[in-house]
Amino acid sequence: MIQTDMIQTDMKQTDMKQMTVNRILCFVTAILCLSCDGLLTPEPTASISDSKSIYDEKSAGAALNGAYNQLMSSGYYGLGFDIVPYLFADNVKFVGIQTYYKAFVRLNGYGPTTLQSDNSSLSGTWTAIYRTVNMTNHIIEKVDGVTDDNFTQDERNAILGQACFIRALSYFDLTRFWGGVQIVTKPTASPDDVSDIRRSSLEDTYKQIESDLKKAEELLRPTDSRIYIDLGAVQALTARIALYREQWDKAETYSSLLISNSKYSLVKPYSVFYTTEASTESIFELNFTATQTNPAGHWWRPSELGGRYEITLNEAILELLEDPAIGGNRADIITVAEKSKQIYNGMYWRSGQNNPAYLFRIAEQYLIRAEARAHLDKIEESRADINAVRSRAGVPDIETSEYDARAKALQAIENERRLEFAVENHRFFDLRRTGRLATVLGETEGYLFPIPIDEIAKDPSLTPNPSN
Amino acid sequence: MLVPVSVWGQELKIEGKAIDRQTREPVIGATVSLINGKSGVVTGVDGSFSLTVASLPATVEVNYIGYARQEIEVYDVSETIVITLDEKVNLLDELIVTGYIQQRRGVVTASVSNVKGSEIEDVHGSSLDQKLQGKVPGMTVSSNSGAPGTSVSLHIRGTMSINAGNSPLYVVDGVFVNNEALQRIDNGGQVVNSLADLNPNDVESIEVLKDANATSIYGARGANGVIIITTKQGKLNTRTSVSVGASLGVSKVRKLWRMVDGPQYAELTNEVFLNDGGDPAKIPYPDPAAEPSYLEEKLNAIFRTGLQQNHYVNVTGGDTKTRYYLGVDFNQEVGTQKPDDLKRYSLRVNLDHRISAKLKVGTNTGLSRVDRRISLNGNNTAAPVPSAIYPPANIPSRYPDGSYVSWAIHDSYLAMINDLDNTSASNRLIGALFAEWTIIDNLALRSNWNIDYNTFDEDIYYPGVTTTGAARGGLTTSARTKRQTLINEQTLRYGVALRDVHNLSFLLGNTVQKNTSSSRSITAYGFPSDDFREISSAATPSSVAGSSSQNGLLSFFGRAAYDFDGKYMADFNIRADASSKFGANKKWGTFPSVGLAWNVRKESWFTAKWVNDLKLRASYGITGNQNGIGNYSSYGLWSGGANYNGQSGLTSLQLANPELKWETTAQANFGIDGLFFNDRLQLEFNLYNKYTRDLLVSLPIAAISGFSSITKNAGEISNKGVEFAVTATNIRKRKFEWTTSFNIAHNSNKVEKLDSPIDQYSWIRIEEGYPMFSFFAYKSLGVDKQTGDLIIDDYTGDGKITADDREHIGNALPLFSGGLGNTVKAGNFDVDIFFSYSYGNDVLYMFQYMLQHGGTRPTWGYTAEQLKRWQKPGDETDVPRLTVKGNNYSLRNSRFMEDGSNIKLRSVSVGYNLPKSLLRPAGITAARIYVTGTNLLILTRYSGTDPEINVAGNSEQVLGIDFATSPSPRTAVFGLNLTF
Repeated sequence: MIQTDMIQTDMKQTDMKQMTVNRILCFVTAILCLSCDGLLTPEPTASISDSKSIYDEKSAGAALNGAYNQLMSSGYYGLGFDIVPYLFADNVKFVGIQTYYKAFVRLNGYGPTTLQSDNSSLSGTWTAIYRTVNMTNHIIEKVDGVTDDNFTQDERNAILGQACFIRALSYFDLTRFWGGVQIVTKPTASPDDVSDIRRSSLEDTYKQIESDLKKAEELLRPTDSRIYIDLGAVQALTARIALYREQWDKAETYSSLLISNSKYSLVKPYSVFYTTEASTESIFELNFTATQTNPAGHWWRPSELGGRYEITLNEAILELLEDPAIGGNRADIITVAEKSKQIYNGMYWRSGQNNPAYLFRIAEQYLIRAEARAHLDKIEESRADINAVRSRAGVPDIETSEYDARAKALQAIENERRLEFAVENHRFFDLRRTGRLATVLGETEGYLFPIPIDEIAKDPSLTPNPSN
Repeated sequence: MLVPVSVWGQELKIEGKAIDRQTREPVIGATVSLINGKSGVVTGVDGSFSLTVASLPATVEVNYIGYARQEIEVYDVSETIVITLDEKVNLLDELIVTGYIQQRRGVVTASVSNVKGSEIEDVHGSSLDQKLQGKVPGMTVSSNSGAPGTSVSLHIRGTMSINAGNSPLYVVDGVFVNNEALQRIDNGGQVVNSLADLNPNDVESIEVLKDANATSIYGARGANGVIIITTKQGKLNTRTSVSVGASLGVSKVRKLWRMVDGPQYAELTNEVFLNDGGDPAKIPYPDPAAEPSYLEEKLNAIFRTGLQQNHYVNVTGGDTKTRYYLGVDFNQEVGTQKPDDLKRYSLRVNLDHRISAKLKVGTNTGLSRVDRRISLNGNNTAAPVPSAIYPPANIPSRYPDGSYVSWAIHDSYLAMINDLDNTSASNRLIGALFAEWTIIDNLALRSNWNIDYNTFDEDIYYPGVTTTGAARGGLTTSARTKRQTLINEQTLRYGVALRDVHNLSFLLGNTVQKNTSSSRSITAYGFPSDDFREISSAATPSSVAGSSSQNGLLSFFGRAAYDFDGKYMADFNIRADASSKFGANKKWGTFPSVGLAWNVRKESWFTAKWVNDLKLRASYGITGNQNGIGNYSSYGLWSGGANYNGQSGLTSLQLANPELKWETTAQANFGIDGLFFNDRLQLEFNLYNKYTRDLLVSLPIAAISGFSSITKNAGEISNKGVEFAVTATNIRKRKFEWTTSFNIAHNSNKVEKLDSPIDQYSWIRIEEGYPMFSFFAYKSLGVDKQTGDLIIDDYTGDGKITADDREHIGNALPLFSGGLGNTVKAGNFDVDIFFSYSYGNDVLYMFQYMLQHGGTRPTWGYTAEQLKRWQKPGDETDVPRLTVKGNNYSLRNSRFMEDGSNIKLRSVSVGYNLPKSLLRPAGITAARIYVTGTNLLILTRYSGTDPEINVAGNSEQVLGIDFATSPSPRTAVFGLNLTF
């Protein structure tokens, strides 16, 4: 004890000495530069300090916008997370030059890839999603403590509910790429805050996701919006997760809530959902603008239309889409450039790169319910759901004879999903959760992407995946 | 004060004239006085003087800078006496600027190199730093690109820092000038060189301060060395002299890239298809020979003969109280790559005036404007070179309807050279205003008020014919950046000599510096037609950005020096700096240094006659660094602009680090200076050891934090090296002189401590235990003769190739580097040949990696080297079998590392001084015509265009990566200088 005291005294003396020196220097400084106030303590004007981040109604709303903005970042739904899953499946071929995307693509849609754990697209996605998580952690931690009389409980609930949803979605997307991950639920103030966090099991990660989703379900209400998260979006994600977790009853219940909701309907023809902004098809889409652009289309569009032309539809999917009995009017996504005759994906038709990202649309809920019902042996009801989607695409109904057993139904649903979401990010995840990776893609069953090697280097508690 | 002596009694008048022994020209401005007399007179424009004396005989002495002191006994006043003066060649008395003071070289204890303005006159280059290549031992200079006025990588004694910058501090006439580019618009990795704003013709001398003793007076900014640029001054009591110069030159690229032609491309493409199991009936090019080739046409359209012109006028002179220098210049460089073009207009006024014997005021002010038209560079997919040569050779430049073809990720190269408008304009004011008060003899107080004000305007307009513009109906970005440094500085100097042998000098000073910078940029699209290019005509603004920030620096410094009769020297420097960039409790840093020297020659026991001077030096000191990091790096910050749906949003930008403090470098230096054989052999030797602590690093942190890095003091770097320079006058005759100078330096760099590795440009890894600029990728062990597959070193030995198998495969830093110059003066002719060299630096030929892709980048053509691919069992080659599968072409590997060692014939110049007899009638004092060639020859094993170029001239963490950046051209310049 005595020793400690002595050390403290010494430190105080040093501090005092330092303070005296500082005072003298400050005094001299003051004399020398009467005109330069704050020479050594300038206040930033282009950014603000931590303490001024979330402190009233307006800044809480701005922080939520910031979380949406993170969802739109180029590692996440702005590009990387959106396109990597279909690059890794069997609908596109690679015609460009960028190796970090080329590494995901299989020659003729089957066989090994050259993906390595130093892939920069993967690490970009990892970083982008955790940035999103950190933003939501700030909101969830701070909104309740804001003292602002104008900030009503309803407004607080709406902001908190959306933040919980975004965090749930973020962790769900992390599991879709990497399985169980490290869970951080507090905002980071220093790098030490996140040291020694081990990866949670997939089950525990789902528990975190479901708890956030449950909270969002309690806090959010239905709204008219399709570009902001409301109760509908929560139900859609709940249904999707139930499908992934093979909780068929729950999947059926939640998808039914949406299908029966008059806010949502299948638009006809197929192309209407991407040619119209926030069509009734949409449950939640990210609204990219001229200033917050979505570069995904840039990677598809031919050079003469201002793009990079790195990816195009492969022969297999073209054949399927162009068959009127299979693709129907979904062939509208096949777009051909005038001069070079290069094919690109017409979903990204807006030249200003302000194409939305379609996170949840009602067609998926029909197919979720079809699949859940097939598993629940409600084959005929399942057939009705898949036919709703087919009929919108202008494709003949599947006959009962082709859809009279669970196995047949599941195969039909898999095929339908391949076409309905030809260039949306479902197929690789669908094939993994149904145990079909080896058969369809020649990939290891249960394949998870390698953990970015740089992250393992920075964080000893992060364990690699088998694919590392 | 320069009034003729008035003497009691009868006055005798001595009439005389002072002339230069060699040129027989009058010496103007020399002081003539009676020995032990208190004052004297000054020679006039014809060298004449008259002096009154009381009695004869009298001893008259003549003193003038640059000439040896001359004494003459006068016995008779009846005729004009002629005093011939010898130019002083004593190198020890040469004045060296060493941070706030001038010192005689003989008593300098620090390691300082000096380059005269005249030494770099004949080297072609639009910026000063570029001209210094190979001139200073221990300073490596390489041009990042061949485009006029682009950045140069310049390192003094290795690289000390990761994020805080490795550029030295530049001081122009006492003004700390900014050498960072203000550029905001990305041109493909290259940035403008802000030192191109200076007119090299204005430069009198350049001093490079290398060791801690020399630089610690600059404390916080001294760690990377200091380059002091002194501009020309007039001389008191000289007649007006006018120099004009004009030069014209041409330049041409030395070497370009070799690609496969149309038929070869078709063949390779077929081979990829078949190797990957394609159906032979469906091969992409059934008749390869029929494929056309457009490569030549494309390269010829992009590259042209560059043009240079430089015109300057300098006027200098002075009377008894005022001296002045006036310099103007116009410089233009039309680059070899279309549409590169640089124009500089500059004006400099250096003036000082003695208000009284005790008070002097003056200014050194330079104004300049640099207009650039910029060609986008290598790492921009729209840049002309990639757009032309990356697409396969059989892709034409235009569609049949005449419209431009843009291909894959590229724009049309024709649109880029004909239609893209990419311009910038730099307006720069570097000014110093000073007053100096001699309080008593040897005690002077000087106050400086300095400014470096720079505005940089950039405009880029992509018209509808470009790919970028096509999608949006024309797109423009307009950026305005402004940077201002204000400095107020006081120095108090005192010098005293006690009993003629104890020389003491003191310096005290303070500096207050405030830097502010701001930038605004707008991107907008949707123009009514390509005739409208101003932002105001655009329909939609797509991004509006703006920022401003400031930092401040407050410093106190002092220096004390003592020498005993020029035999034993000791000095001590100290500077305390406070920077606003650091954490609240860490702002102040103190940087001391000490230097000792012993002039052995001056010892009485040292008798070797052939040794004219021999000095041993030692110094140790600490300097700091705060460059490169943001102004608010220690703060936890949130920024706006993270909007959604047009509603403003916030995002967490950076983590706070209140512990952020100075990066410091301790340096020990040991040196020997020697002069031998009547000053005909000059040697300099230096040995140093530098150790940098508390490296300012943008340290990668686990991304689960929501951040990818934090600015932190986290690491240590060491640099150890040796430098040697020799200048020998091999032959010195009246009409013939041959001088050789040679320098060589070795530096060994090592990152001693770093918490986690930092990757740059996917190829470079900064990691503990390795030098900076180490390349990190898979190691290729060659191509399997039987299968044609690339063998990758399984570093971990686990039987599979994963990212863990990457290794350090090379380094971009040279083992040693330097220069070799030879100057011959024969009669009126002079010839100068200068080589620079670098040994042991590796270059990553990234262009090969990208374009020798074996089919994996289907929209690109191939380099000619691709033709050496493995085709059948037994083929011995290092180019693997063509395939898009597997690792043959998918991994970054050592196959593309090359030895970048080189010897460059930097300059050859031949000049002729017209005889005076011819000129005098025309009223011309001197005239010189010359021809100079620059970069005429490169001897290197490197297979690319130029081993010096660097794809990321905008990054201090990248070196030695060649990715289709335009190479330095060969230049030939013809010029004429006249002095009246």
